[in-house]
Amino acid sequence: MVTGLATRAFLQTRGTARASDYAFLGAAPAEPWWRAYRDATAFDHPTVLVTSDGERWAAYLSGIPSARVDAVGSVVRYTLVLDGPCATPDAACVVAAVGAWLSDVANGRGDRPGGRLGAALDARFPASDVGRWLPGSRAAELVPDERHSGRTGSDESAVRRKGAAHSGGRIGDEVQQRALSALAALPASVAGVDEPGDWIGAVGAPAPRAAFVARVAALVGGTSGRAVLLNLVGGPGEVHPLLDPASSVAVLVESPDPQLARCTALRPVVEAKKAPAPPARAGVAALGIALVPLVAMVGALALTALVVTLLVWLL
Amino acid sequence: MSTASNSDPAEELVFRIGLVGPSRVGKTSLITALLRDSQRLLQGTPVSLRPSGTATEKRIAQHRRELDGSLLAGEFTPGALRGTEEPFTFQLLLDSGVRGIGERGTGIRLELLDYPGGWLDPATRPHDRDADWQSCQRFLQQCSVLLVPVDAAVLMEPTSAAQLRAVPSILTTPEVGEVVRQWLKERNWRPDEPALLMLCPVKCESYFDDNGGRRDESEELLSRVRRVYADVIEAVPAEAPHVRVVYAPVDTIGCVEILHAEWTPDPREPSGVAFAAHYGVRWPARQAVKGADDVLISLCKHLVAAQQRVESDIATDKRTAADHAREYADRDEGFIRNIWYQLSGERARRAHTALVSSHRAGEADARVSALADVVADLARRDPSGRVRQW
Repeated sequence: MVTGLATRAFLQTRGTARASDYAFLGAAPAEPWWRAYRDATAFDHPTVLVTSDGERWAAYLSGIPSARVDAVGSVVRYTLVLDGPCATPDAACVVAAVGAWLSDVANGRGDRPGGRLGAALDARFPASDVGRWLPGSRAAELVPDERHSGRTGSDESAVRRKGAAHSGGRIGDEVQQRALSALAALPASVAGVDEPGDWIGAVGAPAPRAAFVARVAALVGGTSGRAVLLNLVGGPGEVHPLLDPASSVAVLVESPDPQLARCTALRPVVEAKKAPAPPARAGVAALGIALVPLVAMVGALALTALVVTLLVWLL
Repeated sequence: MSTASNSDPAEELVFRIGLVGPSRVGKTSLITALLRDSQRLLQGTPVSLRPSGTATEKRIAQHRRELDGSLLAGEFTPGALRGTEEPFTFQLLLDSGVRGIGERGTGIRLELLDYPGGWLDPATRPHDRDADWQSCQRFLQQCSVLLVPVDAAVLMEPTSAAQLRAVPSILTTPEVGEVVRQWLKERNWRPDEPALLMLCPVKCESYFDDNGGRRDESEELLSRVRRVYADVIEAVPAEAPHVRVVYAPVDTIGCVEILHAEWTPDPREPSGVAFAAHYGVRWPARQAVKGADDVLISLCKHLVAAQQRVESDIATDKRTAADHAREYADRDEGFIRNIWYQLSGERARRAHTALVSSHRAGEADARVSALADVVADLARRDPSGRVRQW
């Protein structure tokens, strides 16, 4: 399958050299929108975030192990950021990528090389190219993606970026092409039956995984909502901050809880309303009514005495 | 003072601690080692140091799992631990153990910002991370404590002139020095604030014989730190003489030992040389942090002393407010006004306000007292013989 350019792809990784820290190759997404989830997931561990407003979708897949290792022997990881318009043929690559990544995580390849997604990316991104395209190397100048950001480059930083835009843009296009080609080589994922509304399930269990893939397919197809694999969330009690009546969410977590072996509906926390005050008893009410004239009379006398006292005191 | 406060400054104070070190030096490992060693240090006291918030708690747990798994497998490579991709603020709570009514616990919240060390070098920092780095710099400038983790193996393993020449580049010493100098200038504007700069060699287990190691090269390590970080150390008296400089080496793993170091020519490294250390695991292959208690003692002495000053001010303010409230409640307003205030409930309202105010002052006093006990306790503890103060 040849993917067109409606879908955009950005790839973050690091080089093997100590100085080549994690950076996007060529071009970076205009906004780091995934950071909204930073309290719910550690981005250096397996994470999937897919969101759609019905017109455009955006996807973030991180923690993907490469076969490359860095200067101290750590497995180097990829982060893949994609976005595009809904209901286009290109969007199928996201479903394939998410399906492959979830399968890798479930099969214990979430933190070591050998997974399908990592291998597909490794095949298109040899260490020599990655090394050349990272910031600091002569070939690479990283520029934030401004094709769709709508920003004008008026500040000093933008001027600097513009100088590097040509080479950065070229590398960005190459990276995008290779990343989409890697995803296109993945086998199509079999989507299960999605559960409606908000739910949570374990990534290790086949049913929630298949439902999650189905949700992702719906999101890129034009349904608004979210599908997220989070690693700092343990169970239903910890996902309430993510719930939003305007945007349903499917949540996968790494959990051995047998209850999460199937999709478990999430219910929004409804704050307990204050119990209404019990009605006053009829006798008390009647007594109150009877006392009103008496209290009013005493009050009038007291008020008069007070006014007189004040006048005397003031004069 | 670099304290920020939440909604109620008396409830929880926030101290920011800066970390300045290159990529893969072991910033995250140092934070984890601090937490692990603190349990031993604070045993028998009501005080505890613990992760604050689920995100920090789980990240620490993830890091520990990776390390413990690697050690149990009988092999250790620094590569068992992941590098940092996105900035993350570790939130720890030094909990006084004293609870106010309905409170979660009171104490000092420590915020440590972890970020990709590669951002230190403008040549390798991605341009799209400039704003992030500026945000990190702002955080660092606000800190009253700056920790500089140093990879002990990089300092100690060079044997040739070429390898020695590569050390500043691998440790990004010039970039670290620049951040420290900026921090010192900021401290110079605040001469009344206590400030602490800590040079913390990490992965030191191969160079000390007090934690299962076979050789003692501690003096050589100290000497090399002094030599390589001479600019930083000498900048302190010139830029901010009130800043305390403490040298505190840490065995972040404890049960490993360098078998051999590898220096290979690599044109991708700015120095032209790549360094890798290969470790063996000492049985029983359990993490045995050493030296983190020294860091913690220095940190606690500094932070709690500063905290105590703030809390003491708050307690005084609250006590004064309580006294004013009581005086206001009991004030003789004249015969008619006294009767009127009694009838209208004003007197009762004033009495209630005074009671609440007095209660709060009492709680603040209790916290100060608890923290004062900790200060005294920590002050009684001598740092180990590893520590130097300049």
